[in-house]
Amino acid sequence: MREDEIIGWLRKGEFAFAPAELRLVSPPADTDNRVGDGILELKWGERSLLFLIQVKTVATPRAMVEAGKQLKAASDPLGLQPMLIYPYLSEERLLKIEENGLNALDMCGNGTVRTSEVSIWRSGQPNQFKERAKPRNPYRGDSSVFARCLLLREQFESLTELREFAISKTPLNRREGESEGLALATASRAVDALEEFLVVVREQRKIRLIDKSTLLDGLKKDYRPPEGNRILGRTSLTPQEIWARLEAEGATGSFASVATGLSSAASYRALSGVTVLSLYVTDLVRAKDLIPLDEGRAFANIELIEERRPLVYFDARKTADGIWSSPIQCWLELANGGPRDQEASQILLSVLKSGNAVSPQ
Amino acid sequence: MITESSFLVDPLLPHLLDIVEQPGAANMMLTGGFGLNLKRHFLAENQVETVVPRSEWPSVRATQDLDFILKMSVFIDRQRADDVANLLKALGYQVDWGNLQFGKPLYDGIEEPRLVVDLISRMPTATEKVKSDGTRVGIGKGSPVHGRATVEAFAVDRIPIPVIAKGRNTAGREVQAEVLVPHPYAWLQMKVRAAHDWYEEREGRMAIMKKHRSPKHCFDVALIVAMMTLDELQGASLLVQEFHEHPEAVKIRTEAEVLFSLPTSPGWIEVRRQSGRELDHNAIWSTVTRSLGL
Repeated sequence: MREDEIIGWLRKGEFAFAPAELRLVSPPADTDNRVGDGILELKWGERSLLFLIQVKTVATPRAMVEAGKQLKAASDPLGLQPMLIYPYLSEERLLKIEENGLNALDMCGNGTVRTSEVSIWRSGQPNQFKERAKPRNPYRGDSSVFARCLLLREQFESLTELREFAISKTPLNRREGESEGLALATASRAVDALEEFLVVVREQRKIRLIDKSTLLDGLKKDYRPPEGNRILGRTSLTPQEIWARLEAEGATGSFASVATGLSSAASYRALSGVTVLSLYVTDLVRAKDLIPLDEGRAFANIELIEERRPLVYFDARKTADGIWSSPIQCWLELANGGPRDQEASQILLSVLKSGNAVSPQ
Repeated sequence: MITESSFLVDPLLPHLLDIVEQPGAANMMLTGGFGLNLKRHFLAENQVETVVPRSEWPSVRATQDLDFILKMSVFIDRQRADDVANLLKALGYQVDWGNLQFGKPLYDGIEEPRLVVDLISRMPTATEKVKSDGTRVGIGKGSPVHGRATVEAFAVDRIPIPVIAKGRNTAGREVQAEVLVPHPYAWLQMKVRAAHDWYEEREGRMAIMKKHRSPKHCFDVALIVAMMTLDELQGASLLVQEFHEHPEAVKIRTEAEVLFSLPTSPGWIEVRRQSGRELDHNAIWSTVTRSLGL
């Protein structure tokens, strides 16, 4: 939906926000203001309030904050309240708007109006319009490698430096000397999206993390476990023998392995009682040749999961006892696990929030 | 031969061994997730016959806290209280809350997160002359340790189960020590109540805690029963008779029925969700009824 279409709706009065009545006064009679799209009268019982409105179609947090700032600067000298108007506003967006001290309505019947005279909140009406050009999800798939980089280091001098950091932390890419999945264009789109979500700011070429909590929430919410083929069984090899074989194979340059986040949790001292060594491997057939096992659930002590994409190998930590997932991967798997796993995830979450470095033992 | 317990290193075991190798630990009984974990390993290593065959046991995980039940004698004999407090102090634990929660940094050089030791107690009887304010047991007289008052732990002193903990302590020294865990009858009382509190909170019938009550206790109930031995089952029959009219036991029997009696009961649905496998409801529930005297 275009902005002029929305203004057309407003002119025709096809716009409801019960219990209030709305009427557009357009154009503003006493101003040459070029920011607002008109003056809207909101009537509720005997009360009548006037708002300088701005119609917008892109409701990302950054766009909303920017539009709100401009509108407020324009409405204050006129003695009017500012109000943003969108095709649709989710509850999350409405909360963000309220947090920023703004008023907003949508064309679906949702909105928040907070003035000294009235206070109205309506949410939950379904979206009747599709948003234009949603930004890429920076928390899912390969793109999330860049979000994870920002948890390890909060500032990068440039996009190129961020990408090089990501590659240096991802053994698959470093070894193969290529950047499949971690292309500069992917990094750029991921950072654009993070900027739209007000998680990072760009200061000239620099990229700086400004909202770690939102970044962590996004990673947790959009985490999806690998869905590759897997084998569960029992091996007679010791963990030391397993790792020796895997590491020797890894030295060939065309194979990688890492303990899953869950199996790494004990090495980060977050969780006890994990009895199965669960491993991500880039090639299940090769891994099975290296580690003979009897398949089956009973008395299982090893699990092999095929995962060729770089994400789970990002920031893997090698110790004398094995190769362990990044604390970020470990936290994400625990946070999306059962009740005790979720409790244990709080340990790693507090470490990630504080920015302290922890190493597996 | 690779045993289940030696296949992967456990991060909490060295800290447990630090504690239980000290004489003061004779006043403490291990419970909570790590108690279940330790019992599981002990039974597995000794290949003891249980209600559900060992190959079918779901894994039991434990967070980084150690829950200990203090014997009532700790609150009667000051020397014993001092022994427990000195033991914890010597290992670097500090009081985190009310002389019943102690902690120390989990990672070197970072204050948070903490490795936590929680002290718990049953309610004292009238003849024991131990003070409680309903939240803490053993208050007054400047005792350096208290126990979190737990009304459903009424049977916890009865027929405790010895298990062996072995491994390396935090100094890297091999330690083998006997640790007491509650009898399944007593453990079930505590876990059924905790599971029921979770259910009541979920259903909006109980005030929501800042830290939500956890459905993990439903799974623990199933695990306690799955790991019961024949001796323990016989011991439960005696305890059922002894505590049959205890007001908390009466309530907990009803709570168990609400949560677990049917394959579609709310507690059993949680068991299925958390165990990641199909456990035999009939085997578990029939043992619960026998163990609690339903």
